[in-house]
Amino acid sequence: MDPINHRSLITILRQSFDETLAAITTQEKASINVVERTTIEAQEFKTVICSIASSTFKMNMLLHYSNSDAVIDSFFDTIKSDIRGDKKNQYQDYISELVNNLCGTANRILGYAGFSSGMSTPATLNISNSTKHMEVIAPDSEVHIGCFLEGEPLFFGSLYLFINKGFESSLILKIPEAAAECEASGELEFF
Amino acid sequence: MAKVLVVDDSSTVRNEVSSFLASNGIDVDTAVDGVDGLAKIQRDPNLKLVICDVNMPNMDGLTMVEKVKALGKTIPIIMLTTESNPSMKQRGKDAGVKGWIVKPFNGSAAIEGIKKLIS
Repeated sequence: MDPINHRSLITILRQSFDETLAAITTQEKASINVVERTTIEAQEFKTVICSIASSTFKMNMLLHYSNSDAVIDSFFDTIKSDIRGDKKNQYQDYISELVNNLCGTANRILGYAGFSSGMSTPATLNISNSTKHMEVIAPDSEVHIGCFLEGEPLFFGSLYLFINKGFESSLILKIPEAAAECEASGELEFF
Repeated sequence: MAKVLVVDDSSTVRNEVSSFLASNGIDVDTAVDGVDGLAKIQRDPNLKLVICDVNMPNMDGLTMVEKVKALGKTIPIIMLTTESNPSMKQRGKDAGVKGWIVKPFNGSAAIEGIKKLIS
């Protein structure tokens, strides 16, 4: 595992979560920490996946979440939006939009670093052990973080890097500098 | 009162943006995709601004913008999307889009521009 790429993946994942959570939650309640994959594997989660692809690499971003009533209540207690209609349906929609925003932020950071990449729309995986499935397709690097509310896990994020054949020795993601320069989201840019 | 149409396939985004605009005294209608948005633009003369997602089922946001332009409508449209790719923005400019907001939506960062467009 290349240490520069590993650090870059942590930066991308952490900044994506920081920016997105700052926009949707009352931030003082939420904290984000790097975790080991085993922390995620120890629990039962549903997973939403979104991919970023370029000519030299592919990234899979996964959001692992519980849809227990207790977690959903904690979640809606923390976000800024109103609840309208069925809480579980809205939670599912919110999770998909969250992954869309996380992947969009990651793709924007990669753009600032000079990579030309496109992203997919989020999809829910109908499997219970998504990290095992990712292991089977052999990523070149992976990082995981957890989002905690007052010490209790709310959801976890994983970012997997797959370097396209032939670029294994040459692809170096120089992300920390790019992430610092990356403009914040949410501003209205006039044309 | 000025009315804004929010077009997004995510109910979360429709709720979030609508609530924010309503709290700023702006009347809001919503549409679930480009087809729904185009129909509402054609039949509601009170709309002063459209805030529209790019990636949606049935009809994407930029195709909707191109169809609005083809109908001769001059209503300002701004895109609210995770897309920040320069080529995608250029397609928006070419279609007549007035502005671009990269998600997640930050109302306080965008409200002055929105008010300027509906005034």
